[in-house]
Amino acid sequence: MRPVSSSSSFISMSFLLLVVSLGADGGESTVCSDGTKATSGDGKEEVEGGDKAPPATTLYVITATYRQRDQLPSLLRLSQTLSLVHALVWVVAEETEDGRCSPSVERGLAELAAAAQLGVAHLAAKAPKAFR
Amino acid sequence: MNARNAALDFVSARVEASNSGGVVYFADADNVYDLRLFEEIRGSTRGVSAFPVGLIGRLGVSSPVVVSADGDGDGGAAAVEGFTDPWFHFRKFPLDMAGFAFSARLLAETGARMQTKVGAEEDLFLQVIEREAPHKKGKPYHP
Repeated sequence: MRPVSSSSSFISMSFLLLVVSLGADGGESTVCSDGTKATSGDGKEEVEGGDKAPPATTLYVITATYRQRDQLPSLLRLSQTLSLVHALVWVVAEETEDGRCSPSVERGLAELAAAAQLGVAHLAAKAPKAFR
Repeated sequence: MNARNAALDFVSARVEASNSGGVVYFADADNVYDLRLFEEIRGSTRGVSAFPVGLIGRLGVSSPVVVSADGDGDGGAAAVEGFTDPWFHFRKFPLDMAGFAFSARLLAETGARMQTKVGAEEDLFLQVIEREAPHKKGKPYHP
């Protein structure tokens, strides 16, 4: 970004900042944990005990979540539904102030994943400026 | 919708790294999902699939209107002809976030992502996908 000359009007400088801020929200995300099995070939993993059963196409289920009162209970409820579906990768994407995963969600997901044998990936991204 | 885009980055990277495919679906934690939906999505989605979402608006459902190619509603090759979402609002694809699924490979190939335009996230996303996937295949709607 070029330095704005001192003779620019306040209005044009504000506009420049607005344009920049709208574009600057992307790319600030982190992958905090990835407990999912890596698949190979054409995205199919073996169904348990399935010598004759055809391998299943992987389902990627993406859940966006943010800090609210019922965040953890809602994730718990959904995880128990998803744990009943085979060949599923659950991608939990948190929207946070700083783009980092929150410890409470991290702990919660670790427990859920272990109990339910569900492949979970936990990511975090910075909330868009307008929503912070 | 940076969280969803971060997730799409993750899935695209996974698909490209392992040269594999898959089907992607957005499932928010405040919805209810019948287990059968997942197998139906897994089995039927080729490019983009679209299906009804209940408890939305006055009609009680946001759904694609599906017409089968041979007109007899028996599940033969079908196309999405329209939508019943209560809030069209100039959207090309008035679908609920939970009302569509798409191929992970198509996602990686098109690089489609969500844009932060409140109310139109699904629409703009699907417009990018549609450029690469001219046919949208939906299951026939069985009341």
